[in-house]
Amino acid sequence: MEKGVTSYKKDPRLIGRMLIGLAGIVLLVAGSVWSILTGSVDMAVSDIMECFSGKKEGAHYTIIWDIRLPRIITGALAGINLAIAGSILQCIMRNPLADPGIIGVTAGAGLAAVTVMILFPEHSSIVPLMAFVGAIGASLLVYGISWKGGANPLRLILAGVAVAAFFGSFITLLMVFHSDKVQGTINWLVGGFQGRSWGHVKMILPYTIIGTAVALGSFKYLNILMLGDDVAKGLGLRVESVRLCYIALSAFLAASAASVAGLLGFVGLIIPHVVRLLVGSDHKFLLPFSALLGAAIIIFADTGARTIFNPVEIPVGVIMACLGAPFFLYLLRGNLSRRH
Amino acid sequence: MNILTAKTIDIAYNGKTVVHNLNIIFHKPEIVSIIGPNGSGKSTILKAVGRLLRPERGVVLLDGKNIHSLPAKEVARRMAILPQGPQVPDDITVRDLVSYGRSPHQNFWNRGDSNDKDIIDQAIRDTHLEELSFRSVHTLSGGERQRAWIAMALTQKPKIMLLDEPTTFLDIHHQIEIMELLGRLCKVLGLIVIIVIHDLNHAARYSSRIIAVKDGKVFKDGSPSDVITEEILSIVFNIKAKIISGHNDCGIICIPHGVCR
Repeated sequence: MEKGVTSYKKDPRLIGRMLIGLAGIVLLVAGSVWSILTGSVDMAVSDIMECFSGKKEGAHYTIIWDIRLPRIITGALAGINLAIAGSILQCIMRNPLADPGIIGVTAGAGLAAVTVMILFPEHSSIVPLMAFVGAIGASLLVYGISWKGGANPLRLILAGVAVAAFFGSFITLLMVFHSDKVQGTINWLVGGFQGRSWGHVKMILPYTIIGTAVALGSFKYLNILMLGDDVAKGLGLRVESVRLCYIALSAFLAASAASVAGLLGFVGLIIPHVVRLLVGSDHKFLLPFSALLGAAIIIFADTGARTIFNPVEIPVGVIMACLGAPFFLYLLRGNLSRRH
Repeated sequence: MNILTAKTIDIAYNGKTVVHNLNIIFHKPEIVSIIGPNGSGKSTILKAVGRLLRPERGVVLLDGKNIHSLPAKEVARRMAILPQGPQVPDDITVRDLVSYGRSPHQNFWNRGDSNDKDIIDQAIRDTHLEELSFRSVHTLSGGERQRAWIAMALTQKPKIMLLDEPTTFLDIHHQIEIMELLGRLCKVLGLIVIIVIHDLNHAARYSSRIIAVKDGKVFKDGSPSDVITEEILSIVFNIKAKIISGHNDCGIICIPHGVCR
């Protein structure tokens, strides 16, 4: 600890945080540009320039504007939603394993979507809507089950696990009895962005804007909740109502992500941890940086997913876990050895 | 005026009524110690008057108003409560923690201004944490950590401060340091300080009023010399103790030397 009168005037972590924020923005921009440029048809930077400068014709314009751009934006928005939802849930559940699955979102969206895809394949256009409804419904169920004069984090988690297992058994049942129709559901269940259009962007964008604004604006409530319920109550926070609001917020963020991206794991669980290791657990920084990194990582992984084994597209979740998990372990090891 | 009153309250904890028909009033700036054996209900009483528990019956009044009808933030601006052994995230700095005490004075749109900053600086100075401002709370010693929590409570600018076993798990130096800090804050800021404490000698030395609790009831409420007596200790704690009084300005000293059989 450095000595001196000024040593307590300035937060020494500030510069590091600014640099990491800057790195996140660079990563996001670089990922988007790379993603526009590569694919089954390669582009040049000049094509992007043309496309954005108002030339609205040609195959390149169509590929960039109607295929790649909406796919990138959908991915980025889903990444933002999942990363923020994960950060919030890990805080309010006081559990490092919390992710949007813990409040039933994943299981609910999965069951609703698989039901439509297998039993009513002619209505496949309502899959996103049904996934959203299923996700919200399941999280309401989880919250309802765990309510007992208040919903404490442990009861929420246990209720979430039970509901997920219950819904999961129905998904399995459907898939066993309709094994001929399973192929189409697999891609949705592992998540991905193949063929995403501006329609999907429109579907998720309002949730991202409102959800992100509310989450980033209310970071100090999350900081106070980290101190435990009693301290938070002592500071005048209405703990139960605030926690319910955050669960609802995370449910909407994660449900809208599931409706456009399918059941994408990893981002909601790992990104908040990576960011916490980089910038600490102050939500003033954790939330925006998680959003940034969540968006960037999905863009990179999705671009890799469609280009590495071109023309075969591999699930984006596979790429994220393959590359992200070792990186996460590397950060974790470094952090552990520093602390102990 | 800052008067905290518990009126005929019953408090249940995990479905079991542990405190019956309790009446207490705290009305002047002084240190009040609540003593009693494990399970006697002393922490429960502190939580109930501190708004963390809602009584089953009766009311807790802050200046004549039910603390559960007042807005939570208004109560938090007048009364701070520190639970026993609160948890902190690994990397929160002392200054971060202390600044959270301002939250009852802020709302969604107002994020703290220079006035808040001055109050935070003052609390850090009052608790002698200047050099530790940007250390993470996790790396502090027990005594330093307790001072950081007290600093957080101070930035609430309360008139009443409730602490649950603030000296437990500290070595003797830090125990006395915390008690002297509380004594100073009480005198300088005119705070009503209410603590739950196990050490009878610290209770006798640093508080001007002691409440002995047994089986969820106030057994004796009075000055240290009224409460710390051989007879009362034998009934409340079931111990044999020798009491020495008037020794070198130390008030009274109690030397426990056995349990009653």
